[in-house]
Amino acid sequence: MKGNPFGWDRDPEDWLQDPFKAMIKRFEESTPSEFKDLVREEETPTGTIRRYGPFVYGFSYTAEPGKEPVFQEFGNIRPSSRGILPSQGREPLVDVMSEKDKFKIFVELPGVDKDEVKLNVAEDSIEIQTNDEKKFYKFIDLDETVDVDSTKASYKNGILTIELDKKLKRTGKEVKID
Amino acid sequence: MTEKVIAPQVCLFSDENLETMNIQIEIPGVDKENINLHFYEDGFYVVARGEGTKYMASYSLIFPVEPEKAIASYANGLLTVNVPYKKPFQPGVKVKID
Repeated sequence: MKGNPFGWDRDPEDWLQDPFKAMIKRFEESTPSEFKDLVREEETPTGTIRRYGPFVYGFSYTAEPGKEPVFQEFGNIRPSSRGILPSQGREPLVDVMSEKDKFKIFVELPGVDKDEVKLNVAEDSIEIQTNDEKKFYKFIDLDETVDVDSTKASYKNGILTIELDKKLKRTGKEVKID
Repeated sequence: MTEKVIAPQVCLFSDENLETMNIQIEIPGVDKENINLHFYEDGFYVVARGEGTKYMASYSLIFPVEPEKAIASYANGLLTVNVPYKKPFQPGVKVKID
């Protein structure tokens, strides 16, 4: 647009779209490959249109008098420290207890047989899934690295208990400032 | 440590013949010996103790059941109860969903 009082030499619509373009680009770059199904491209006379979604994410909150309120997440995506991940099943209730030199983790998997529980441990995370009809799935990010070989897991009465030793911390020496 | 009281997840549903009611109660962490399940014609209650947790629930039923014929089993934190209705209940009016 010429003769613009603010001296913009670009189409104002372009100017308006730019910040969104950058946002969309960032979104695309951080999108894991599993999401490609949720992104559709369409050719139109004015160019390519990308349609996203549907992405669903939310909380449910239940409270009863005298009882602890319960928050639960639902949806087909799962925000985490590694970006947004698609969720793969029902989220079990998980308790992560960080002790001085180890983690103790409790996972509630009611109704699941021991043989149906799949546990995968990495240095910084744990993945749990079940092969039964309930299809529990949980990815746990650990905030400290662990010794994978130290993992001990037991399963009783629908509760999976995992114990992991934390890797030794760096040992430093305090230096006096002159 | 104080005991945490929790309302367990309960799922109630009838079988396809409308003759037996199935109940699933999620009480992970509880030993079989620590489950207390009581049935009446028109309801039931369950109290179950795990380590540091106490599950409590009581439900009333719309259609009367035969409490002495209730069959309960427990495995992996899931309590399953099957109890026959006094008489098979007539299916209600099927409501069309627009």
